[in-house]
Amino acid sequence: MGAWDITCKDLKLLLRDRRALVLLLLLPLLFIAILGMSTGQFLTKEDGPSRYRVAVVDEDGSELSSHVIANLKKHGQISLEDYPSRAAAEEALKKQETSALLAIGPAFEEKVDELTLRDMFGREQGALADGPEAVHITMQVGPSVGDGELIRYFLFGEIYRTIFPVVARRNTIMRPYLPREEDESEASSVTEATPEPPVPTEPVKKASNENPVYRFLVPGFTVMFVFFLINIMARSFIAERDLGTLRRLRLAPISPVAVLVGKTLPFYLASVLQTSLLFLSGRILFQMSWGPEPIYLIPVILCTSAAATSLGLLLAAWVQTDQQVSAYGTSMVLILGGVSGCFIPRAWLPDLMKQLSLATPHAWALRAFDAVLAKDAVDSIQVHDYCFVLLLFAAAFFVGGWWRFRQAI
Amino acid sequence: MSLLEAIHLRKSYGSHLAVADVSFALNAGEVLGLLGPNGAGKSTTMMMIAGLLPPDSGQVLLDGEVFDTRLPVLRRELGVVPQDLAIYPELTAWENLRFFGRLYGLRGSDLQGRCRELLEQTGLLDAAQRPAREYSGGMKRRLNFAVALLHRPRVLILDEPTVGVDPQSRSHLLDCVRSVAAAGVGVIYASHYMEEVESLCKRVAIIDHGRMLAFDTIEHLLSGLSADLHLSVSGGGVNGQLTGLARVESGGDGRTTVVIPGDRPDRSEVLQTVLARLKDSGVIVERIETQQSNLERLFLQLTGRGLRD
Repeated sequence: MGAWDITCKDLKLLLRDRRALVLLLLLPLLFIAILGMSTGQFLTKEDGPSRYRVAVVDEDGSELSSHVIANLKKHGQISLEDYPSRAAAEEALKKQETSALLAIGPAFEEKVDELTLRDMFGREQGALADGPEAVHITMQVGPSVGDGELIRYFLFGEIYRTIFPVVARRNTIMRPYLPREEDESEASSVTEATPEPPVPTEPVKKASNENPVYRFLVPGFTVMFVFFLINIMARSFIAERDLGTLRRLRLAPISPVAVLVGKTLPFYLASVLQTSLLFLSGRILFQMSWGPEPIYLIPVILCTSAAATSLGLLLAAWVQTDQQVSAYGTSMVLILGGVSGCFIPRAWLPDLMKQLSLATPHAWALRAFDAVLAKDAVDSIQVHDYCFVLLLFAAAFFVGGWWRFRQAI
Repeated sequence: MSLLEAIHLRKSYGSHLAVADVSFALNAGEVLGLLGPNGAGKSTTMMMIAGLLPPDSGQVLLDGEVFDTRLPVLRRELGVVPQDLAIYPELTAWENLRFFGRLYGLRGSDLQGRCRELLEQTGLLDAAQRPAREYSGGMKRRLNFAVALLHRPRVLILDEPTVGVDPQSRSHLLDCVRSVAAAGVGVIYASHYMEEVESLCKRVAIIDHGRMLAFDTIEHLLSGLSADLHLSVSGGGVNGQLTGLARVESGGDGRTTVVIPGDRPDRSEVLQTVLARLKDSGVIVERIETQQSNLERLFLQLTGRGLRD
């Protein structure tokens, strides 16, 4: 009961500490929002063409050109936007409102009808040697796009894939081996409802309006700010000692372990609440996806909070003054956050850094969140393993803090 | 049987011997004064009694049994009012009392009633809903005192509870101590304010350099104290001619007093010598009187006038 009384008292004090509430809740949200808005374009560049907006103009207006556009729209890698005229599309390209322009000329279907199987199989020698212009397709890429050739190659590849069965069907030998035209038209009539399974380099499923950058920013900064809790926790212990109330707690008929648990528990609860609110905010404000099985977020949040509050106990056991809390605590949070991948995606870290980061609880928390948020299916064993490591960190920190406090309490 | 006994307590901090040998006994309903200069070992002694410091040797008995404060049930027998405030400034008086009361096992209406009782006793009921950081120094001291009494301890230790407190709050606190003692609680009262100790305590223990210098009733201790002789003088110059015989005190009003210590066995001869030398120096002795014995004089006589760190 003594431990719970101390917990309730400290929760009351924490809720009355506006600075702590700002640090725990508002500041991480601010960081996430600012970084998400200012660096979202940069951080999602490694997703490749899925970032690119392509203005499409259909001057042909044929069934075939519609079929090509419909197939292109099914891809999650690009975002196709219809423009009424080539001039409008070129204007958008000039203003960088779009990354590339794809114009299907008025003779597109006619040119495709002229293609033979030889042209399809021998692209470098046949009618398609001139590229998309041979079928009256024009592509332009904006000046700010670095990998323009890649986009052209991708677009033409997709167009080629669409027109190949049309050309091949004219050949009586090939015809039996091709899907029926009705099957193809059924598939292409579904414009946006069921996109093809994407062929990306990383298995990512996006919510309809989600900017995938928040799938990194929210967990990254949540983990960092959860560990910022150690500063507040250490200050609470120092305050208890400086106020003289620690002596009263020692005089009271409660065990030293109860005092430690009572002092640690409010910060654990605050940490769980903080993480939950940040993820909820990520969902509501930034349309962040919680992954295919959000239930797995619960153990990850609980174990991350355990590691953070135990580290807070260890810090509190060693520092003596507020200045030491600021110096050691803040440095620890920033260094561990930087090393572990809270500031930039772990995938971008050098291999050595990735290995070193595994000595931090932050890295394991980030891996656990990634396993829940960024995969098509959650590997429960993997999540279990990551949580187990976080609990090991928590146990080690708690034992270290308890051993040190034993001398003081 | 005494309520509490400290028997040959000893404590060192490394090579520094803080408490060499301290023994005393406290009766129920008694206020025992604990006096000593800074660094004498008072606080160390009180911490050993309270169980905050394990003694190197010696023991503390409660009702004749070893007082092992590691046992929670025995901690309920003891209340401590520390010298430094030990309350939460961001909590109200009610919240402070409820929190500490719960730690001592008080619940529900018992807790509520006890908190109200103490708030009334310490004159804090009207301010009880305000955070303690808004209180005056005296109010904080009274709250500090109230916290120690929540669980109705049988032994109460007060370590300079009236430091920095206005006279009204001090008077109120002293009345509270008297009423607590009247209820049968044994009180150990440590203070540098001699008049407080004289007004509260029948018996005092005087400690210096970790040793007990005196432990008896004030009356008995003072009866053995010889009075100083005070000579009010004027004219001439009182310089070094009295060195080793008497001390010279200059009053704020420009008057000079020559003091012959009462503990000198040859006081009569010294008086004659001093009078002769003063006459030779042209100093006029206006008045001779004896200084009334009091606790402060006794304390200074036992511990000396030298400054302590």
